[in-house]
Amino acid sequence: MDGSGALRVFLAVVCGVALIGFLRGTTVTDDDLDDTTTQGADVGAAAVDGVSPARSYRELRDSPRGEGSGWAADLDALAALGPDVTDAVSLEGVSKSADLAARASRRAYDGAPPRIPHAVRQDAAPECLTCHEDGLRFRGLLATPMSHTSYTSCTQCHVVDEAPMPGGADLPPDPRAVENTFVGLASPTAGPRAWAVAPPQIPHRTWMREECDSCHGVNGRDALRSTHPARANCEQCHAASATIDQRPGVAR
Amino acid sequence: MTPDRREFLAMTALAAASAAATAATAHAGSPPPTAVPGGPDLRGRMGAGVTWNKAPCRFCGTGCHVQVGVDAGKVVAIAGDTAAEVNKGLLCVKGYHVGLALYGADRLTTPLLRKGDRQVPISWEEALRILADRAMLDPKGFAVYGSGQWTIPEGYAANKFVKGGLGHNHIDPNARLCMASAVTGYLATYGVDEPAGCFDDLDVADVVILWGNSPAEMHPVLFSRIVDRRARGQSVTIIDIGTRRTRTTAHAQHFLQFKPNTDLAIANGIAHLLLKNGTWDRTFVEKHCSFRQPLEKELNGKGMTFAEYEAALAPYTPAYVEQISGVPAKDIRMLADLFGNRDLRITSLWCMGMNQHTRGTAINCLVHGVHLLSGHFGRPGDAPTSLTGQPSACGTVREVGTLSHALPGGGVVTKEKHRHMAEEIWNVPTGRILDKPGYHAVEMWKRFSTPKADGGDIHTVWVQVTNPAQTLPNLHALVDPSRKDPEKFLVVSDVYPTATTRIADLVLPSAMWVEKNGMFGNSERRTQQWFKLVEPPGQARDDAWQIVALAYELYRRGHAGMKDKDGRFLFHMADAKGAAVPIWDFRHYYDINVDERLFEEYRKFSTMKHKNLAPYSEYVKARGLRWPVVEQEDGTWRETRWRFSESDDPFVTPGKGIDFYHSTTEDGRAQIWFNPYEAPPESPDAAYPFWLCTGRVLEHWHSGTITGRIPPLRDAMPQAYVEMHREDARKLGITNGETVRVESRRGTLDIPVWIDGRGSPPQGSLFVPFFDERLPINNVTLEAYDPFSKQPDYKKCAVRVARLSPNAAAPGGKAG
Repeated sequence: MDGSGALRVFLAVVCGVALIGFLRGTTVTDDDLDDTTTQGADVGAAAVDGVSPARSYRELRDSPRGEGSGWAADLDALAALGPDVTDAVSLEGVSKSADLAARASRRAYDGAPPRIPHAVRQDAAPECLTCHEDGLRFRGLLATPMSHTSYTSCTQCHVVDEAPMPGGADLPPDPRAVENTFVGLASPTAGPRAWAVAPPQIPHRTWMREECDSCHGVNGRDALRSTHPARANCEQCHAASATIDQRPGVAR
Repeated sequence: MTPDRREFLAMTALAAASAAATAATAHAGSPPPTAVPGGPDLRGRMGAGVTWNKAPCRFCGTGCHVQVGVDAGKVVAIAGDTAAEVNKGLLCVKGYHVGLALYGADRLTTPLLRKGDRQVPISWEEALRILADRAMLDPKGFAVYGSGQWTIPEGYAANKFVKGGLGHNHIDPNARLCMASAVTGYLATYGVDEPAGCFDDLDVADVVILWGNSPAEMHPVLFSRIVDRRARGQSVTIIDIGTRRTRTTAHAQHFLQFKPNTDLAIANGIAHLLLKNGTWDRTFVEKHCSFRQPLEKELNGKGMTFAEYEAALAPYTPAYVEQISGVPAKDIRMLADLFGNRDLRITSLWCMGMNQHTRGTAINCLVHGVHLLSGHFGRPGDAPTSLTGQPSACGTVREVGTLSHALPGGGVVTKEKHRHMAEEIWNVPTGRILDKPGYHAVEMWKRFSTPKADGGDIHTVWVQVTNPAQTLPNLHALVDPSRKDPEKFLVVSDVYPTATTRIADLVLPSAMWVEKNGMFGNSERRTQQWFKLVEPPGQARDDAWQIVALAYELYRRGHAGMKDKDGRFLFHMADAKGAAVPIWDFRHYYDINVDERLFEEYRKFSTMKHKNLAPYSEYVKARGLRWPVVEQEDGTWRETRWRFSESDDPFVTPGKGIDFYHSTTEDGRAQIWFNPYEAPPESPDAAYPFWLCTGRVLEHWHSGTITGRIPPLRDAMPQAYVEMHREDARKLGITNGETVRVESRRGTLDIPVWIDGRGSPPQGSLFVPFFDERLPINNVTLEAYDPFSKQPDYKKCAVRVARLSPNAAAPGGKAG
């Protein structure tokens, strides 16, 4: 096998791992989880052709030991397969309302930290940056890049959206599991423009959202993407609001 | 809503807004952006209807400030407050979702009275009549059980009502369960409560030592403040001294796993090596410290010479400490080497691990002692700092003194001078305040659960802002019996149904957080203020109003205690023209700022122990100020970051450098204590072979009354569990997720197992979080408490674990 072939095989494995992860363990049934006390020994052991078997998030949840980090570092290679900032961006056929709704579904209000739509390690610092540093786009699945990488205790703000622990099916209903009537501030749909083709203002806070690429770059949701991602100095044309940004000196 | 009320609300809002606008340092509001001139009006897209105001977060003792976005009378968004020094714009997942706290669909909106096995709605008038009947029945048996979540003015009103009005001292807070040992540790060491250092230490410390503490989940913003320094290229060594691995461990360079209760041996081991290696700070100690040893029942113990101190520590060799604690001798040496290096800045943090401890006072003193002995004190980054779990455990409980022995400003009821000061400020006759401490939390509930004939002299407990039927230890003994005794009457003020409201005789609906004016005091002596921003639902009303309204009902009935020396109502408040404002009538409660009035009165107490507070108006401008706050020559008010250090503390005698001006020995010295290691009251044995530890998780706050109603938090952590080591599970044939029975000598709980979950206990050790009302682990815990602080030990007792038979009952608790 020549070098490029080996790379192709390797990438295929990496893609498989990522894909299975994204699919959130849909191939694992509850029956598989019955005796997890014996699973610890299996982790990372059954290598096929020198490659660790892909493990679902469900498996990671119940038995997080030995999470592979060898392949994780090579996700860079997978990311390289994604779009480039110089690629032409077409917003044709893209539904802004659908993308905004999808974005809003993960947040209690505009500005709230989004919830994590997949299982993560519960016992340690999860390796969020593996996928979320530069972002990753793969067959319609999207890991958006994070906008505040200097904050390192990710799970302090971002939590999973379903039970991270097994069991409890026979518990009585939680008396506190009542409806919550909070209605959160909606996301802005567009920034104001001074005239039809003027560059729009930034219609949201930029605090902890200062990396525009996070949502508007090549790995942002389709409808939020900039048509000109190669232009890196966003605030040259798009002004942030001093008031929304709680900037000092703004009277109230 | 009456027109008056509406007008008044508008005025309050206006007052709040203008007060904030005049503040030079306050800037965090985001007024609606105006439309771009000439452009289309797109304000709606930028949340134009939203007004923003500051408030401290409702949850823990960190004291983050949030910006609260309000639209059409409802909270719609939360943002980290970038002007806040504590959190610098960051929050944790609870803080980001604190706005949802107000909107659970089952808010309590009307007073409820138990009739048979139902609770039926009644009017506030009737509720107050019933409350007053109970108080008149026998005022000395009418106790108040409060909270570190009381705002400062609420706690102050309750304290004055009980100690200055009812004339007894049976008022104690849930904070007794939370930080009482930290208080006694500070008192025994420095003669005055609360940390000398502050959170700024976390920005510069080279080493942070976590003593049985997991800030990654319990004080996440402080933890980020430490670990995010690494992302900025700074280095900070984190040493996690714990009984189980946690999320914090994942960020720590060193994890020192110790056997429960043996932290005293570790601290003694460090001191032993500092002396042996000659690396203790002789200059600092000779100038600023004395030595102290225990003397039964005496918080201040008795003095000892250096030679005696050295001799007492002699047995605590690294090998001996390893044998007791399980921490390798090399790690004890590592700690001693760090403390022995004066070039390093070392901050110690602790919270419940050291406080919920039957030797809580002792271990608190020892950790202070290690810092004093090594001179790691009084410089930025060098500090022993206790953290608090509740937003105003410091502000309300410790400073206002809502404890059964305390008076505002650091006073105690047993000191005549302190009583006189309170009687003078309250304008009540001399002798009004009883000179005998009232019942502390465990004792209060014991008396409430004991029949009158057997000495159970507490007939009524009024609970505010806490959930004792879930959080007290050994509930079978402390709570349940009272519910079968017709002479006992339980009153609960709360915002949602809880384990406690469900068993209450009278339930009172309370306003919460930004539904009322408030003030909190966080773990670093920072006093914070906020204004009411939205209306409470239905007939929910401020806790302070409830106290004032009952006091007035008693006053109306002629209860002598509710009158001051001049025959006026105990909570008399006049308007600008001198006319009494009927604040007992809720329609007029916000005619004036009652919070400000109560705070300004309370402020008079604050100079006694040099805990000086600034006028209310200063807190309106600031994101909190750390006391002592002292007026400068130019009329500005200056806060203090490092107490007892001449570099920052205005009360230090010039030239002294360090000055412990409330020294118990009255010579400016702090006490370095020796306290021996002793075995805990209950240890695992053949019948009950496991240690049980209880605690919190990131997503839920205490008993989960609020966080359980916030969907993103509930979804992320929907149920409690028991953490168990994989090997223990394998031996017992237990699978992950299986429901097992955890049993102590006091009770049982059936609960699902989580192996390799959030935390990882070592073999022979279990952990259960206490937030889940359905899984009340406090049926199992032990009510043994520290002899000085009276704080129970929730962190260790002996239990066994058994698989359930296939026919076993569904999960839940059972009496033992």
